[in-house]
Amino acid sequence: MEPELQSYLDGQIMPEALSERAGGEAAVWETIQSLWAAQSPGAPPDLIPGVMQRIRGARPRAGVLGWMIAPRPLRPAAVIGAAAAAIFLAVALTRTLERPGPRRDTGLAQAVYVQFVLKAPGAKSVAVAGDFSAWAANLLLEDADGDGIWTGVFPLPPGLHKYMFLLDGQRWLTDPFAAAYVDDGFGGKNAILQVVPSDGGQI
Amino acid sequence: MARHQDRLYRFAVHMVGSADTAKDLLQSALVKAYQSLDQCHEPERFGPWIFRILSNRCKDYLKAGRSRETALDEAWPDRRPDPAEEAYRAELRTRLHWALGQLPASQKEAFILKHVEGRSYEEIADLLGTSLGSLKMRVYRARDNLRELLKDLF
Repeated sequence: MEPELQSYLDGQIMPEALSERAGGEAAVWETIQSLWAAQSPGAPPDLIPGVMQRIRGARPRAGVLGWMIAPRPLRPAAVIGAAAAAIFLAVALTRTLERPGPRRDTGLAQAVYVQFVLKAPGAKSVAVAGDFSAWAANLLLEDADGDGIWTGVFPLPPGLHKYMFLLDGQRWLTDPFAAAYVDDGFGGKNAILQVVPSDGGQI
Repeated sequence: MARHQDRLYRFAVHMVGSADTAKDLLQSALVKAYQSLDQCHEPERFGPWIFRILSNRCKDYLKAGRSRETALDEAWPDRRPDPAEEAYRAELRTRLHWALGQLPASQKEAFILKHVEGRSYEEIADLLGTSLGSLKMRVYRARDNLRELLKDLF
């Protein structure tokens, strides 16, 4: 191919600068590109549900990339939607509990204790997972009196955190009373929690 | 992920020439990405990372000779109202698809990213982890080969 045509296709020269012969070829290339550009398809709607189906039940390796791990792969959107709509009612979000004195062995400077509350009658276990736990669901809430109100207090570092609840070790639930939400990229929502430093007041 | 999936899917469709196969390969790549997250050491480079997983899967698929001749209309439904124009474009699409399928995978990949995706050389080089010079050579060779394969059009 002539160098001038390569340059044109690289966007380095204008079509007016082409020779007549190269201009004719350039028109064919333009047709080809417009054909592709006009009809390139978007991803089919069942793409991500198919991914969910394939990895359902799998677990990410611990301690890696909390931002990406998120609970997405474990959380079929349909299950979440049904759970949120029909089964669970969260009655409160979170509130910070400032505790003076020695910090726990979290390694987190200025850790703030945050209470998570979720009404989930019938659940056998409730955990909260988020970027603060690398999305490992090892922060367990308790329902000591069996009234279906699950609570747990955990030290979190100040900042914005994404989190979700995990019920019975398999059903992910977006906190319906979260202050804000963010797309998890897989058709679901992560709840957002802002933790302010202990000298900065409550959330 | 949503911001990546359309581009990834389009790339796969052009690489393997089949909407169904492209979807299968992309789903497989996303599952692989999920299972290998600890190998993505730079979260901000998630896009290039997953692209390479997908690209390798497409190349493996092509290498295994599983590519089949598929009318592009399978992947891109006909939406053009003018029958004469569409007949011409449909024929052209078929020929383009055939010609693209004749290219070596590395040339095909570079050409698709440059001329189908419309990405810059810098972006593609970053995506493929190659030098600008090497990338341009692949694109130039792809153009030359396509021109030869479709010489009666030029």
